Formats: sequence, structure tokens, C-alpha cells
Amino acid sequence: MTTSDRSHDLIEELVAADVLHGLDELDRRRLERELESHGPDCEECDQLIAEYSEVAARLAVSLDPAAPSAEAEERVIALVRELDDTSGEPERAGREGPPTRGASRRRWVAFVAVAAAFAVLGGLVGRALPRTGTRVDQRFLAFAAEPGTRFIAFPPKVGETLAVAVNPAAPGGWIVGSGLPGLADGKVYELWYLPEPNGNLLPAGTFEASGGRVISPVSVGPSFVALAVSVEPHGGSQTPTLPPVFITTKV
Amino acid sequence: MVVRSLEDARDRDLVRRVIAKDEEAFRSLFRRYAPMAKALALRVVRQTFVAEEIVQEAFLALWRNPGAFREDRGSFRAWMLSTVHHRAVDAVRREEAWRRRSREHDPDALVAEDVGATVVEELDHAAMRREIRAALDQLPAEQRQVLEMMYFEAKTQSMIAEELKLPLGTVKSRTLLGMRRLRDLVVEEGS
Repeated sequence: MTTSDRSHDLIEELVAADVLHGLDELDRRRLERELESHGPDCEECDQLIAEYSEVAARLAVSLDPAAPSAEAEERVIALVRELDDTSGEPERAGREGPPTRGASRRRWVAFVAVAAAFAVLGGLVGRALPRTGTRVDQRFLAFAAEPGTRFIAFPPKVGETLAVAVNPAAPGGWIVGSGLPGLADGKVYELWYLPEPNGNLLPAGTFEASGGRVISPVSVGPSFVALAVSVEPHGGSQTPTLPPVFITTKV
Repeated sequence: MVVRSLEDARDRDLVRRVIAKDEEAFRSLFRRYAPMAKALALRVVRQTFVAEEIVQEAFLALWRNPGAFREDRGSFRAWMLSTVHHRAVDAVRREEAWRRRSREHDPDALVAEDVGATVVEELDHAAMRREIRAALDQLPAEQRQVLEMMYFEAKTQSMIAEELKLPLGTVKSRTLLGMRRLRDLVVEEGS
């Protein structure tokens, strides 16, 4: 057996587990090193990856198919159109200067802003939006449409997504999310912001999730280095009484 | 390339059209692979809503960057299902609390809920499904168990070793032996 053959034996062993996403981190790095050492044009490596990837795909095919929901196809098509619209109009969407006040212009800007939010947040925040145009919905859309508004997403949990929309030129902000667990009676969610690295968390408002959804105005300070959400007694607290259920420092 | 078929060739053509932003080509790929992608995601994450979200995100990723599919590294089907599986595994490993809750669920019931909802275009996948199930049935039980824990339960080899109280080397050898047997089937089929 040549050195090259032995080397492919190891790669085969690692690839066979990697296509199942079952390698531990150390072995995954080991595989990366091995593949790198063979270079991008190693046909035998490509063949091993192709063959074992096909085996993994067959394991998936062994399952009975699960039809997507009736609206899934149109939803994904709508999202790709929004992605294209957003990527095709970056300068107009982010342009400085006073916004045009015409209704059609405002609707267009709102659409672009929300589409951008969809793109940033993977479409999940869209689930928080009510189906019909309620007053809250319109206020949020107006905020989202303002130049400079950005969305800060908390790291998503399975089925739970939460983000805060802020704008340096406008006070407050909005919290939007979906899939949030219902809370016990007398409990609410409370948003916190950390104004500086060595400071204390300050309250930014309480909110509740209706049917798992939230879209609510909040009062985040003008600058902050972290955001967090905890579960607090009804009415909120001045400092968190329980560990945060969401936290992000990527602000 | 080992696996060559009309289906594979057609998929590659569709992906090339997606690169040119052909929405109909994208829609064709979605119709063809979303049901099996959702079945896979559902099996791993065990939540219908999350599974559908994962499939949606995988297809959006395809639209954003279709060039991520490398034709020299296998079929489009294998790539798409690997993408979906990776996202599903990430979701499960990120959320240990969810995993504890999921043990109380009945995955078969969740699958049945969706399968019955809509008639799915099966094409030739039914035959392939029978073949792979037969191949799995022929695997020694201990090899099949390791493969299924890894692929469908999002467990790493060391997690499986710990759970089954086996040396890590044993899990690795069972993985390789089981995968080799299944690969023989795929290679024979493609030749």
C-alpha cells in the first residue's frame, strides 16, 4: 500500500462520517487538513465525497416524503423576489436625505425596509406581522421605513426568533418576533439594554407574545453594547430577576 | 463522477438556469426536492414549523448562491439534502433544551400529519426508497443503529459512543463499514 492509498483510507473513513454530519470537531478539522493536503484537484477525494454524499442522500430518500404546506412554494418564490428587489435597489433604499412624504413612496420604502428585514432575519420576523394592517402594524412599518433603521437579531432558537429594530435618529425602537413560548400568568417578557461595557442593564420595556408573536414598541437608549430579554413579573423590573432567555452582543 | 443519470443531468441544467435567475427553474427544483428535504429536516428536528423553515432557508441559499453547488462533488440532490441536513443538525445541537422536549414527541405522528396533507409527486423516488430501505435492512443491526443515530438524531460519533457505552473506535469502524456497504449499492446502481 502506498502512502497515497493510506491517505485516502483515512479520508474515506472521515468523509463517510462527515457526510452524515457526525464527525466531532477534532476529526472534522483533521479531514479539512487531509483534503487540503491533497489539493482541490484530487479526483479520488472528489469521488469519495461524491459517492458518500450520495449515500447520505439515499438515507434521506428512505424517508416518506413530507409535503410542504400549501403556501410554502409561493412564500419562497415571494422571498426570492424580495431578495432580488432589495439587492437591486441598495442605493435608493439607503439614500440619505428627507424621505418623500407621498403615500406610494412611503409604501415602497416600507416594503424595501421590511424586505431587508426578511433578508437579514431569514423571513422569520415576517411571521410576527399581523395579516391585516392594524394600527400597530402601520406604526412599525413607518419606523422600519425610516432611513437608518436597522434590525438586531438575537441568536435564534429552534422555532423562536426575536429582533429589535432601532434607528439612531429616532427614539425607542420596536421588538418583533415569533414562536415565543407563552408565559405563566403574571409574567411578561422584558427587554434590557447595556449602555456601556461595564454598566448595568437598563429596562427598555415589557411585552407579551400573542400566539407566540410579538410586535411592540420599546424604549432602547441611544447607544448600547448588548441587548437581553428576561422573563419578569407583570409590570416589569428595574433589574433582571432571572437569567436572560435571549441575549446578544452583536449590536 | 460515479452517479450519472438523466435526473442528475436535468438538475444540473436547472441549477445553471437558477444561476441566470430563472425563477421557473428554481420552482422546478423546489417542487422536486422540497418534500424529501422537509421529510429529512422533520426527522431530525421533529417540529413541522422548524422543518419547513429550514427547507425554505436552504432554497433561499440556493437562490442567493447557486454556485455553491459544485458539480464535481456529486449530484444536486445529494448537495441539497446535505445542506438541509446540516442546517437541521445545527438547529438541534444549538438547542439542547429543545432536545429534551423532543423526546416527548412522537416523530411518526408528525410525519404522518404532513404526508397525508398533500399528494406528493413521487416520480422515481419510490423505487429508490424501496432499494435503500432494503439495503438498510441488510446491514448488521449495530451498523444500522450507528448510521441512524448519526444521521437522523444529529449525534456525533463521540456522543454515540458515550450513549451506547462503546469505544469510539468501534463507532468509527461501524460507521465506515455500514457506509461502505451502502456505497456499494449506489455505485452498482450508477454503473
